[in-house]
Formats: sequence, structure tokens, C-alpha cells
Amino acid sequence: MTALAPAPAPPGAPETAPARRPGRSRLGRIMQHGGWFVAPFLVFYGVFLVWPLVSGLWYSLNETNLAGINTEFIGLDNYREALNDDQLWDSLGNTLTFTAMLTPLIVAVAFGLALLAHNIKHGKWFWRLAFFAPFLLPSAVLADLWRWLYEPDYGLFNNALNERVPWLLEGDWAMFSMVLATLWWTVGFSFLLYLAALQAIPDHLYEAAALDGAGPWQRMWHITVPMVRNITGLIVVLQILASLQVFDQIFLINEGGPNNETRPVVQYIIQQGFTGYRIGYASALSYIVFVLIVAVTLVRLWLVRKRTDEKGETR
Amino acid sequence: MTHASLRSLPPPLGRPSRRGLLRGAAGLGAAVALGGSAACGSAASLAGGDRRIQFWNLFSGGDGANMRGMLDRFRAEFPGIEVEDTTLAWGDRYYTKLAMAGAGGRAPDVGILHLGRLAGFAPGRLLDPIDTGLLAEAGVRREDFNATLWDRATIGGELYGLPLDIHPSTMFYNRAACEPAGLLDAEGRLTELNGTEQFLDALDAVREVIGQSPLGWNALMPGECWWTFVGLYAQTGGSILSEDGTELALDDDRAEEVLAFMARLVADEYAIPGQDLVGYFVNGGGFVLFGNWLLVDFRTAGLDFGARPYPTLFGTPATQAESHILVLPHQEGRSGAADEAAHTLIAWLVRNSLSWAEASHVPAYLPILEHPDYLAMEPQSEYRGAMDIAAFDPPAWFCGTSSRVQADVGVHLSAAAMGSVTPAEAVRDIRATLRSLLDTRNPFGEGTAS
Repeated sequence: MTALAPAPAPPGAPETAPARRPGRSRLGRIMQHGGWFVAPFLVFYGVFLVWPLVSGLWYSLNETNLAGINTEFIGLDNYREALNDDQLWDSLGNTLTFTAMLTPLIVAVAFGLALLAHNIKHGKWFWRLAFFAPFLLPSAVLADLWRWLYEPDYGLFNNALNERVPWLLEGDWAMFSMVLATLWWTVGFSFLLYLAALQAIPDHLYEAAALDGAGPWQRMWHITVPMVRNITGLIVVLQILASLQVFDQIFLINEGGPNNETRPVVQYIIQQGFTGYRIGYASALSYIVFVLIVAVTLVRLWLVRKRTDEKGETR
Repeated sequence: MTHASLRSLPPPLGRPSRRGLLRGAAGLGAAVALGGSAACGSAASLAGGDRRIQFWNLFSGGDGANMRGMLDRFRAEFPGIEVEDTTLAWGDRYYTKLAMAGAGGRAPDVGILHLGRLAGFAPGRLLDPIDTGLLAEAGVRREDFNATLWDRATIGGELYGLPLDIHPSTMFYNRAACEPAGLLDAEGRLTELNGTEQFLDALDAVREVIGQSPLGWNALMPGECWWTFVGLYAQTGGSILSEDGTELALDDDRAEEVLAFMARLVADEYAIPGQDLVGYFVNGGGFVLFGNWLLVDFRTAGLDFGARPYPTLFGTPATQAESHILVLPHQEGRSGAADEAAHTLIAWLVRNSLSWAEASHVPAYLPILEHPDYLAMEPQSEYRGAMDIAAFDPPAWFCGTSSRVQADVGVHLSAAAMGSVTPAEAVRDIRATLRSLLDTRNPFGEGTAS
């Protein structure tokens, strides 16, 4: 989403500078105001972000293949094909289902774990480490581990339950299993954010509330939850953006199966572009997903702004 | 320009005599010198890159170690040729790199490709044809190969891939499970199982012995369902696409019959989907249907097992197979000593593929396939018959190892096997998918028009 960031030219510089130094060029003035410090970043930004974005758009208007040979300009044909491509919408639906299932779970579980680790008396370091450690695993390790846990006959889960639960064998179960594995894997990061937020709540709030006769639940609902609201917002945004890009663990555990019922849209794009050599079509798909992600982000920004505005009025 | 270097190749199997070796090296040196002067090549090209061959392959497992061992032997026999081998990660990433390198004309001198991928890899544009004259001088001819295999690597009259091996779908069987079930002959080999009923009876008997599901076969994986389908559908005598790979030739009834059988394997719990096949076999499983390379894992686990091609369940013997072929990725102005050295290398590799066969693949070079040392390899030689009944992917751009067809058609096969759709529904979906793939322009363009 960095693409949405405004061009990193120092804001305001062109308006204030001309009056003071009328003799210098615009570029010279920018360089004067720290441009050289930004330049290395700008080069990378241009080469690895702006340029691929632009060339991706160009690819999507061509029947571009992986080798870049025999290319043909076809206008909007790729987009037309994509809009009628059921597989795109199916896989996009899977990604959205995954996001909708995972995000609330992460928020709830991370908050719960943070409360536990914050309030526990003994061995704090151990709980922090235990909850955060899975986040450090590479996705390949995670996938191998959980594939074995979910194994129908020899897996730990089915052995413990003494039942053959179709963890990865049926569509709905498989999606749930992916969410569960991902929750275990990534909850540590949100947990850490919540823990920091909890530690930043001043004790005197709780003391005052206790003096006024508030019980533990009231203190939680009226002090803790509102005090970590900003962090909750941050976690929700980060989680949505990360989940919309989900790919590796699902691909590695189950290749998006069974019957493509967990295949995320990123996997479909890769299949079109790299398995099927059709970079042009894959670029068009990417742009459609890109627009959707931007839309989600904008809606989210708009909601936040609206809420803060309302708050401002009531005060 | 002579081909002196190739004429003096050592005999295929014996170790080369010292004199032969020296002559070979001298011949190569002469060839380089001649090539240089004839082409008025620059001094730099003469001194530097000419006899250096870059070889890209995708062998990372047990066969990777094997390939490196073979290359070391090649280096010892041909000190004049410097082989620089690079092992790249298998799958899409390998093909991505190879395609891009070929497109730029700065590809490695020699590469490995899966035969099924050849039709979609723009032979003539991304791949250069192999000089069969040079190969013949090195003692490698069409007659030395299964004709079907060789001809599949020939497109528009030009040979684009020299087959190194085939790797067929194999049925592994556990002797400890099959013997009490009365399924082994006097030599400890699995008796012939013909037709689905006989096969299922055998599975039932093994289930009795081992007290768990008798077959390791992962219906959850689209690619594995594709292999099974290609083999079993070929047994019905049908073909999926027309011979030129441009028309749909699927026979719905036959396809449904095969799919109903695959679904029965799962529904009657002959095979539990999602199972780790090595884990299953090591834990006393009965049979496993998978590519021959699992042999390495099973052997490491110290199991007593045999391996044979798929049993004939639908009339005509056939087993799915892929093949590693040696290719010459496209280079601008491929010629001269480096080109000859590349031909020397690929000819040498197929002629010395005996050690390659140890890593479980079936050697494509017939003199090796009939070599006593190969025949003595157990259970490798037990499935050598796969060469004559190999069913390859249809010759279309979207086919081959880890291709679109495996993912897109395989998923419908898997859905049918798992019982989430009926065989008839799956066949309808397969038709629709194949039709849309056929309607999609070959991304790299038609090959030979370079």
C-alpha cells in the first residue's frame, strides 16, 4: 500500500522557498532542503515500486508472456477476460473469507493473551516468549508442522481426538484449519502490540475506578478496552492488509485445495503468470485486486475519520 | 570444421583408455583452434569461454548428488571441457529463469526440461535444435531410444530434447503385507493384477493383513490425480487431446469410468486422502501409487518393497510418465567449440546414465536399459517395462510437469475422487477447462517460427 503514499517531496517547500531565494531552481531548492538525504530512498522507490507499477500496467494491456517474446497489444482484453473469470472471483472470495475469519480472531486472541501475560504474577518472560515465538518461524516450517498435525491418520490432532476429523479434506474444514494455523503463527505480533499498549495505561486510572467501586469487568470495559482502542484499530488494518495477501502457508499446506476451496487470489495470479506464462493476464488480475485493496483501505480511512469527527463534535 | 572431438569419444560404458582420453583432449584442442581460426574469433573468445559449458538443472534431491557425481566423472574424462553446473529450485521458478534466459539469447549452454513442457517452451525460439549429426558421431542415435519418446522430443523435424530418462507413475508394494495376502510369486514379485475387481480384491486382502487402509494415494493433490488419470485413461485406449494437441478428444464414458474408480478408492477407504505417503508406507502400509523417485525415501527407511508400473485395470497396459530431456536453450550464434562441447556433454550423459538409474529414474538410452548392471538393480529394473507403456502428457503448451493442466484439470479430478462432485459433473468441468485452455493463445507463441 506504499503506492498510495504521497510523493515524498518535502511538503510546503516550494511555497515558502521562492520568496527567500528567488535565484535558485526548483530542483536546487529541494536538494537544499534535504533532497540529498532522500535521494537514495527515492532511487529505490522509483526502481522497485514506481517502475514496476507502471510497467505492470503496460503488461496488462498486452498479451505479455514470461519470456517477453511475441508480445501483442490487446488493449483491455485481459480485463474483459478477468471480469468473466469465475476462478478469479472464487479465489478472491476465498481470500475475503480467510480475512473475515482471521481478523476478529487475531484481535480477540491477541488481546486475551496480552491480558494474561500482563496480569500473570510469575514467569512473565516465559509467557511472552511462548506467545511470540511462533511468529519467528518461516512459513515453510509452519506449513510442515501443521501438515503433520492435521495428518488424517498419523496426525497429533486426530490421534488425540481419536477421530478422523477432515482437517484438510473438506472445503470448510480446510479454510478453518488454515485460519487456525495462521492464528497460531501470527498472533504473536498483535499480542506484542497489545502488551505494549496495556503497559502504557497509567495505574492511577484503575486505582481511581477501584475506589469508586468498579469491579474487574467494569474496569476492563471502561478503562482497558477504550485505552487500547487505537492499537486495536492499527491491528485491524495491518491484519486486513496482511490477510488479503495470504498465500504461502495455504499453498504449502494444501496447495489451495481441496477443490480450490482455500486457494487465495494471490495463488491464482501466480498460477496464471508463472505456471501458465501469462504475465499480461496476471498483471491485469493483480491490478483488479490492487484496486479492491485500495478501496478497502480508503473505506477504513474514511470510517476512522468519520469517527474522530463525531467524537470531536460531541466534546 | 571437423568433429574430431566427438569421434574420439570413449566407449559408452567401459572406462576410457588413457590414450583415448589424450586423443580426445587433443582433438578438442584442435577443434577449438580450428573453430577459432575458421570463424576469425577474437582472441578472448578463444582463450576464454569457448570450452566452458554452463549447465542448468533442477536436480536437488538424491538425483542432484548423482548428477554432480556424473559431472565429476565427465570432467575427469574431458579435462578440456569445463562444466559449470548450477542447480536451481525445481518447478515454476526454474522454467521462469530458463525462459527469460532463452528469450535474451544469453542462456546456459545446456539445460534440463521436462518433456511434457517442450511443446509450450517455444522450440526454435527459446530452445535451439540439437544437431543429430553430432550426436550420431558421439554414438547416440534415434534407434537407441524408444521411438515414441524420441519422436515426442522432435518438433517440426528437429530434435529439441535428448531424453535422459523417464520417470513413470509406479506402484510400490510392501512385501511384508503382500506375502501373507498371497500376492507374491516365487521370486517375491507382485502377481499380475488385471482389471479393477481383481485389483480391489487384492487391496481387500492386504487390508485384512495390515489392519489399515491398503493403499497410499493422495486424492487431495491435483497433480497426483492428474498422473493417475493420465495413466488409467490411457489404459481405456482413449486420448485426452488430438494427436497435434489442438482438439479435445476426451471420451466422456471412459473418463467417467476412470473417475468412478478413483472415487471408489476414496469412498471405500482403500486410500485415505491427505496422507503423507512416506509416513504411510513406513508405518506398514500396503501399496503406494506415486512417481518412482519415492524409492529413495523408502530405501532410506530400510523397507522390503518392490515397485512396478500401474497394474492394467482398464484393458490396455499403460502407466503415466514424464521424462527429463537435455535441451540447448537459445543462444545467439550458438556454434563452434562450445556448441560441440555441449553436444559432447549431453551425449556422454545419456550414454553414462547407469548411475543415473540408481536414483530410481528409468534410463532412456536403450543400451543402458538392457545393461546387465541395470538389470541387477532392484527394484529399479522391475519397472523398466514402463518405457514401452509410457503415457505422456498431451502435446499442448499447457501440459507437462507442474503445468496449468495439472492444476486446473487436476482439481476437478481431485474433486471427483474426493466425492465432492459426481464423475459426470467432473467430466463436464474437465471439458470446460480443457476447452478454455485450448482457446487460450500459446503464451510463448508457436515454436518453430523464429
